[in-house]
Amino acid sequence: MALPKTGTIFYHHADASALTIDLPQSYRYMQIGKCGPDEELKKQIDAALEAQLSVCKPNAIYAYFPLTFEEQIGTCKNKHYCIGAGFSNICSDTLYKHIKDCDGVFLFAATIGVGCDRLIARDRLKNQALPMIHQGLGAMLVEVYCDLLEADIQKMYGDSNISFATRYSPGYGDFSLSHQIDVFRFFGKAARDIGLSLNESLLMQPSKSVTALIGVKSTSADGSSTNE
Amino acid sequence: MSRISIEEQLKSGKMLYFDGGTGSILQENGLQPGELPERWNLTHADFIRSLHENYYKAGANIIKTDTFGLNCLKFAPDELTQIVTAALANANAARDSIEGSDHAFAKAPHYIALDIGPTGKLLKPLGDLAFEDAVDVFKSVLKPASECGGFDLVLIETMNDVYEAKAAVLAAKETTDVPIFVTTVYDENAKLLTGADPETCVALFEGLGVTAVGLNCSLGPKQMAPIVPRLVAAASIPVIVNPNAGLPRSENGRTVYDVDPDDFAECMAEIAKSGANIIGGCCGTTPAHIARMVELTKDIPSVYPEPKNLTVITSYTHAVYFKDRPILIGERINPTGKKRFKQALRDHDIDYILQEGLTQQENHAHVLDVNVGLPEIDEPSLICDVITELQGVLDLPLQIDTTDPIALERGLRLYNGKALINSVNGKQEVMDTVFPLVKKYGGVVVALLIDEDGIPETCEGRLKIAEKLYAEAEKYGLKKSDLLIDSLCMSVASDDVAGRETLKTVDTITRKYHGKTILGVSNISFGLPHREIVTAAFFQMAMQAGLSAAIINPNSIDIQKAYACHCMLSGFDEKCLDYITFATENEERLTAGSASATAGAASAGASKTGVASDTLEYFITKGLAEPAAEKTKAMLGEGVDPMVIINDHLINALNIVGKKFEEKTLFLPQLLMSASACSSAFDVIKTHMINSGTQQQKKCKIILATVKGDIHDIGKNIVKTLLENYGFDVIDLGKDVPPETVVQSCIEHHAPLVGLSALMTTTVPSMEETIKLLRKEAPWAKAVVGGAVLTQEYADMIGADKYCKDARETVGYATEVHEAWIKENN
Repeated sequence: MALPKTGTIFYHHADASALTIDLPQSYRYMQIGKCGPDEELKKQIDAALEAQLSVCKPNAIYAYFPLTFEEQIGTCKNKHYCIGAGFSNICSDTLYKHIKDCDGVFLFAATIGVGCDRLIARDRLKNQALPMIHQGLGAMLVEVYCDLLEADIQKMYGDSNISFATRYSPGYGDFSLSHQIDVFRFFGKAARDIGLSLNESLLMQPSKSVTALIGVKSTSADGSSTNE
Repeated sequence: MSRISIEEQLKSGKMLYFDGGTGSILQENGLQPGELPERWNLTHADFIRSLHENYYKAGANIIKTDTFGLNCLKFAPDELTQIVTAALANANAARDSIEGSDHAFAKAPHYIALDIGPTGKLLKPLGDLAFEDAVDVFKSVLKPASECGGFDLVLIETMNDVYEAKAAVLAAKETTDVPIFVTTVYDENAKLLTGADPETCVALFEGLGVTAVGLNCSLGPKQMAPIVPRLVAAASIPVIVNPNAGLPRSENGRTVYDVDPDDFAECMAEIAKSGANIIGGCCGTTPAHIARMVELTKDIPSVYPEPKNLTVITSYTHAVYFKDRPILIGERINPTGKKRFKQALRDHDIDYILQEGLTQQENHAHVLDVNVGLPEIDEPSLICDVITELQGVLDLPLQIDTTDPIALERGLRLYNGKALINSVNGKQEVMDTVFPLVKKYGGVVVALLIDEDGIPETCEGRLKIAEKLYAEAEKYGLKKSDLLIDSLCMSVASDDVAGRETLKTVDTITRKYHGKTILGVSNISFGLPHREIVTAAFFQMAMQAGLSAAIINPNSIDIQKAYACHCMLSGFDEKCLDYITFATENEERLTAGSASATAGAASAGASKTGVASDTLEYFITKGLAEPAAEKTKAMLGEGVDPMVIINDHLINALNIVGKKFEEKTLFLPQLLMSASACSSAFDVIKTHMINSGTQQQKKCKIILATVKGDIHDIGKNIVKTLLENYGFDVIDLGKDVPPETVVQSCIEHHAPLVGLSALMTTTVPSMEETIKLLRKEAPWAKAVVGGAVLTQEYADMIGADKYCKDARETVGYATEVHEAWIKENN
């Protein structure tokens, strides 16, 4: 399928059952070492995962933008590259390095909903380990949902002439978190539709949510990048 | 042109039609990504007018002003007033135009809905917008709109959180007299994103007095169709259905919607037949969709809903109906006769109260009574704190139990749902105070059969008060189904016929008056030995007499037995599944025949389960909370000094776990499980000491807070648990705490140490500000900081005394501060 019209917002939804559970990833978030959890802890993790899956509501929105790069100082003090991505002008060397071969990006915002936050609030009354466990599981679930979303976007728009960079979020490297304001201004009502909001401290609510850019690289028949 | 009110129009038997999408049409016509559509009222006024007019020409009766996202969070006051004035002018111009034309629909009824969408913020506790602030955000558009006039109703739409919708409804009720319509957004599982189902939405909004209720956006008509009959079955008011034309998808680089006007109209005809009264469209629908829908449905009658007379309350996720199967209301959040609970109220120990709530939920209470009244306490303030925290962690409906009208109103306002209210009675003054609040905020109210002359001794006397209560409630527009009659049971120890007269009253209200009843059953046994036996027997008899709800201790095994058996033997327990669950869950207690045992976090039995080693240290290091609590109880029973248990056993166990954590042979979740087990043991000791009138020796006070702007508190809570385990007196101010509150608390308690937590770089400035203020106002206090984003370098930069990388290190630093503090104070 051809790449979509610039700035058109699309919705994505998945059932929690479609997510590929990655427990070792969640153990890392829980600060559990390589030997893994003992039997008692594993029991708690399994029960927490079941509770999480029953309230997990993966939803996302995304849009496509063409990219332009400019070597610019001007308003971008101390940063070499300014990236024009339709919804925002981003001054970031690290993002530039990541997507310099691309000629477009998908911007997305994904969430697994308020369920995880509610479980963290409730289960701390049962056991202080549970918030930590839910935190680790929720972080893993939103990441695997992003993997699924990325895969679906690639399936929909990818072909032999199009390849994709891995996702890159505001807050990584020198890609400032303040760009979250642009992301939410752009998505507007659509963010509300999936229950996602940004607070004054630039934190997303629900907390288990991700915004990111996925670089898109179109190659000509001889394999060279069209952006070169 | 004069027109009949929309309320009368709804009773005319004719279907009413909303317009279709606005935002999606604006996008098609050049609205840029990120551009605010409401500004088009000023910049593209002709286009907006013509869009409204086209909808009227398509047959719509109600158009929505282009004000969906208009509020003070996005617009400065002057611009906001300008836009709302222009939006109403555009809508009125369109109406004048169609009504002055010779168009086929010129004579149709035409209405203007002031359109109110969500704020775009998540409300506390999940987000950072306080409930009253949300009310003010909605008022920021409703007030100038009301001053301007020119609309016939307020449409609160696309709401995916009932709490936010409640804030909008209250804002509308407090600024305008026009009818209020509310539509919410469901997913394919018929739930809002925040969890409410259709029945909950209907009960909550009907309770608030809205004129019509329904659903819009997110789904296409086909996916919405199964939700409509559920709304129709629950609602006594008209039902609105405004679907999308499907969700946008990409086709050859263009945005298209799944459902064309013909398919849309066909589905809408089915929806109309299933009982909807007002239909229209949302995103992706156009005048063509509306025109085709009107054409296909114009002959389908709209049947105004019959009153359902349901007695129903809700939380923010589900509704609880008072029907044949009795409802259990947990009575444990109440200080009466509970020393430990009173102490928790005085100490503002909200966690203890939340724990009581959680235990009752685990023991299958359907509703939780909330009473925090103590003479020396600011009840309105505390009831708000407790309700906020309870609804932040539990999804059970609450019964707001207070005699203080200010506390009642503040609680009802803040409550996220339709509450049960405890109580009104036959005294004129009380009825004059309580019924208007029930009318304004919605709710079911417990009506006590007592008046200026006291409690009548006989059933007949009590029935007279019931009649008075029903009649007075009706004056406020409340129905019999909004009242739960409490016949009041007195102790049989002081009156031989107390039980009989109460049961007779329950029976008569149920069978003759067709009313609903409630009882606080445990009063019956007051003053008698082995009260539980009498209470359970009376409970069973009352259920047999038709009791709709009982205020009970859900943790009591005797109450649980009586309830499980009654439900099964009365045919309310399909395939005996609930009884079997009860019997299985309580196997040990039932076989032991421990009639006075109570269930819950500290249930009996677990300590004698043959664990390999039964020392308190073993249970703590293994993170086994219940055995740790039981072992502590046993040790106290054997006369072991509480301080010996703390210093020789608990601290020792924590040190073992802490060492293993530092050696990385045990990990953070296990450390926390041990900390929780330790907390369970501490709680037993605390209760023991309060009951025996002794004071627990505590170390110095420490103020803890997650700084303003930050809502992450897992790390802060871990630190709190460990500090408490080591005997520190922790004052936990929670999350998102302003610098002034931290400093004020530090001064009030003269605390030598303040712990501040932050997760994000964006909230570190707030931490710095807190430390600066602390230096100025409470120079004696040390500041320790921590959190994912903090480093030693950051901590130095913002002037903290100490950076601790984890909770263990914080305990070490707190101990140093404590020792210095002891030295200074001796």
